[in-house]
Amino acid sequence: MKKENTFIIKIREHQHSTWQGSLNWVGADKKCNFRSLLEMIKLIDEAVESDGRDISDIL
Amino acid sequence: MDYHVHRSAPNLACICIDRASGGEYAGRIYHKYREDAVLFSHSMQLIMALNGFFDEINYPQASTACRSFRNTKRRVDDGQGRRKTEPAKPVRTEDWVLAQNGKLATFYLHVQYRQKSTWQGNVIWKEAEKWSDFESMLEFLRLLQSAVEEES
Repeated sequence: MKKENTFIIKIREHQHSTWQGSLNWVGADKKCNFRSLLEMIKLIDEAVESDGRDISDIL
Repeated sequence: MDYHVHRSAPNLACICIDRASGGEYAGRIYHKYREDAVLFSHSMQLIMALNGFFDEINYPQASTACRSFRNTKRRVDDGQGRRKTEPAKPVRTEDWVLAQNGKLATFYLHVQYRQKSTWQGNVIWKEAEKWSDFESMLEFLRLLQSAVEEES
């Protein structure tokens, strides 16, 4: 797996029938908190979809 | 159990499951704002397509803007919470949406709210005539998963 697409997910809480935690995008050295599974998926999707483009242009 | 289809909901969607294997499923999504089906080949694609549809018609309006890895200063407007273009117009009727059938199972989805960065609403399993409320997208996925497992 490419380093760019490696993530560390920490689930800290389980409120409102969903998950809250933080997502660490290892390849880009970026971290973002999420408030739901939906938000977590969208963050991963954003990171993966940026593949092939200049990350410094996005961040 | 008696159930009621929210026919007038703009974002009423019919989810047709055609294939399932290894815990994943594939199928079609129908709604009033598109003439043909939106195809999906796994559950995450289903979720992203549905959320994109809700953003497109801005219904139900999301109470929170999704967080992003992008810097807020340079953040691109993702269109959530405001309209940039003309409101979408329905091109199909509710009857047409509700008449669609999946090869394995069919669900009518009504997301009523998008609060707490997730979805709240209800889902009807057409063939089994069962319905259930859900408080989050995770709960909705679990409902769908258990129904598909029963059928496959």
